[in-house]
Amino acid sequence: MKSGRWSKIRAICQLLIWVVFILIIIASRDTTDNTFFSYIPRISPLLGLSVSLTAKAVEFIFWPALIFLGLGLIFGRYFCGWICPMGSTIDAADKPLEKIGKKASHSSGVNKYRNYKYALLLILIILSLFGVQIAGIFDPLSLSIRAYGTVIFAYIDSLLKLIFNGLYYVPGLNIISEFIYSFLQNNFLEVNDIQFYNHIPVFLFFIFILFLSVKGRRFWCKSLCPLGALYALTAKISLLKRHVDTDKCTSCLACVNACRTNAIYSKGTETHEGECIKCFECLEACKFDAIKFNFYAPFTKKKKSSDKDAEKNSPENNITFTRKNLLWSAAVSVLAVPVFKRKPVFAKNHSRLIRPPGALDEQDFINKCIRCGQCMKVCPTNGLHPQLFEYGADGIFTPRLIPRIGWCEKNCNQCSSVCPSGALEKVPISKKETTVIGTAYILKDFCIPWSDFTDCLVCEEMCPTEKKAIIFKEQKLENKKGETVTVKLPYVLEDICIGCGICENKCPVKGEAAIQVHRPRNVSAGPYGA
Amino acid sequence: MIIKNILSRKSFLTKAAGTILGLLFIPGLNRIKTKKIISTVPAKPGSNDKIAVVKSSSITPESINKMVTRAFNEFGGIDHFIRKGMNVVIKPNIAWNSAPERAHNTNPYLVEIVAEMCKKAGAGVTIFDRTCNSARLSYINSGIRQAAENAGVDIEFIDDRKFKEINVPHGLNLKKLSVYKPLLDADFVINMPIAKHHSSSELTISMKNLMGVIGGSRGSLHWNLHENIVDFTKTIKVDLIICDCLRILTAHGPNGGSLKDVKETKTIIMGTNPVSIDAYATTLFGKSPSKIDYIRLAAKEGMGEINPEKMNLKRITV
Repeated sequence: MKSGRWSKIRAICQLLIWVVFILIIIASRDTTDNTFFSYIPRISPLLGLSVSLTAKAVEFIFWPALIFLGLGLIFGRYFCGWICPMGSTIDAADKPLEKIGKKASHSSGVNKYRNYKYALLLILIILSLFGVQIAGIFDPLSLSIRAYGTVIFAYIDSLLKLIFNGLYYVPGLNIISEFIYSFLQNNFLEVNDIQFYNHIPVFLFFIFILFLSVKGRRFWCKSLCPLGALYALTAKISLLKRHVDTDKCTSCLACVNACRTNAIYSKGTETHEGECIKCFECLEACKFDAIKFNFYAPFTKKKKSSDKDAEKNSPENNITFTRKNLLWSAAVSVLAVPVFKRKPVFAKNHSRLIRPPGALDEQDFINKCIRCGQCMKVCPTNGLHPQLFEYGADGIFTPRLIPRIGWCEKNCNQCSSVCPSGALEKVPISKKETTVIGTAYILKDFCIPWSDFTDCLVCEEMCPTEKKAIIFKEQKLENKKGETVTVKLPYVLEDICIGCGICENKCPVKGEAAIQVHRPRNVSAGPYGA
Repeated sequence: MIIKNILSRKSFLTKAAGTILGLLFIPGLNRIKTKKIISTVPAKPGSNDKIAVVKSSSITPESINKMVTRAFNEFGGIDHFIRKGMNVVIKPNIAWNSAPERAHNTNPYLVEIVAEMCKKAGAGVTIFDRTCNSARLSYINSGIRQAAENAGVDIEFIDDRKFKEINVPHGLNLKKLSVYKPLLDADFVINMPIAKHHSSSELTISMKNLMGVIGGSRGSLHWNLHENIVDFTKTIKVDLIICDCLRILTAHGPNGGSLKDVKETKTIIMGTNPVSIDAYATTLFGKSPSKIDYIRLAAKEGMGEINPEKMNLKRITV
């Protein structure tokens, strides 16, 4: 095959994987069995490593990561160039962004920041050892699923609805637009509007990473991505390596300029293997057919051309991870521990922090949750939302149920079946009706029957348990005008209530509901939530 | 040679905007064509419409088929109601994300058979309901989405834009009501409720089932619920009611209960008067119609006969 074609194959592969990734995000909203989708974030070795270190046990659930890491031992950082959905997104966004930024750092062929990613990796590992597992914030798979699956999908969904709602009132056009709209709504869009609490921080973080490219193409990947750093380590001993035929090479620097990760130095002849993402753009750029990618046994020294040694050993190209870097990273991570480690009162006793059904005990849940947001994405009622710092910094981007926005649907175990890391144990549908995630309490001053002496009972009607957890007692009371009226007063039976929150959601009182779900008071911690 | 743009971007935009604005001012075009809505009281005072009560010995697709056919025959066949080219709306109860045997939603076989018969009679059929649980999951788990697909008819999610505010004639409590337009626009509306226990209205049958085509905040309609239910029935014109009493939920309704609370009454009730149908269905629960507030109120308004002994009943067993 002509060597230049490899870069096109790669581009097509990237696009296809990205499209499949997006389709999976859309498809997982409309299925009743989601287990398949739980495999996607599991291919990240960084998440596997971090979760295992935090749990102090090998998490076999991340076995797909081993396959991808094993491939890394052969192909180096192939994952970044060919598969990573975040990398593909950055590639797509790079062209316009590059024009905004200075081209300096790119054309010089040196990336001064390339060791920062090892530092970040080290910080995440040390934090994991201290029991703070926040790798999911930076892991590109978690990051992209979280951004695409929750906020970007929600934005596109509401934008399309806005456009089609506008067209609906335009005569003539609306016949066509409604046809397209009903097709979209049946296949892709949500039935109801979705919006995520704390969506702006999630979105800004994603956009920030894209905008890093003003400092050079793929700046995130080559300088900061901790998963990239992990693959860079495998690349140093991997088999597939770039080789330049010095007889053919004219040092035209075409490959240096084409390289998006600044992996090529020494006027085009040498490669930082840890930086090369095997995108094969250099193959296409080289007009003299001087570049070849071949398999070499690990640790073999390729013949170096002596005349270029001077440049090779220049300080710019010899950025290695020094002892000083190591100590700094360790110091930063140790200092970060108290920032992220939360007080037990945050973890245990915050009554409005309701975890999805199947959640492990709070600390185990935080340690295992990889913040991919798949549970929020599949929740049919839009009830699960990313938390920020409300209940401690190490819980950032973990899911919480906000019943006023969306309740926990009965007969549904989508969140726990899609959870890739086992932070949510799969709840069988048959057990869902008895899985306790909270308990509802009536705020009598807000409640219409209690404060206004008028029948309401919407909460009782909605209550999905076998025997209603909300009951009412008919009582004769004197109302504010002094008349005697018979009112059905609601009560919550705490032993039966599972805390699904549909009562809070449907409560017709404006603003804060008159019935609110809190963490269960009477149930001890167990495997299914509580 | 330089060719000048015949239509510059600016002139295109201004012309397009002008055209759209112009079209908006053509009378009638700026509204999607609707029929004039006539709010009617469904039954004249004192009228005693025919009601067919069909009982079977089992709940199977075949027996349901027989029951529906037999019930329609009582009224002179489905052709008596439905003509070719009619736009028929079927409004079952799909409010809950529950399996059919829990008796929270209308039986999917029943919906499928009625939809299929309407289609065979040459009508275009649409099914929808405003759900309480997640719309998507309720449509799937109730079995009604599958039923619609089997029958080859349309099933739609409720579209929030398509509600229309209409006046309630002589309302007991309400003056205006926001109702789903596709139902108002339909040539023929079939209400297919399931009879079940309901905490605040005691029983939910055909009159209460109309809650599923009402927009806005439904929670507040639960204050003075009984008067409101009567007002729905006055406002929303329904042409035929097929009440699912195959399985009825006798306690912890409309949403809870276990299989023990489900009673297999193996009955369907067909008729045109919602008040009489609700009154008759009440007897299946062993209750007296006049003890249920909204039925009593409707009878007081002269909307139908509620004494089962005085009804024009036709009991059939298949």
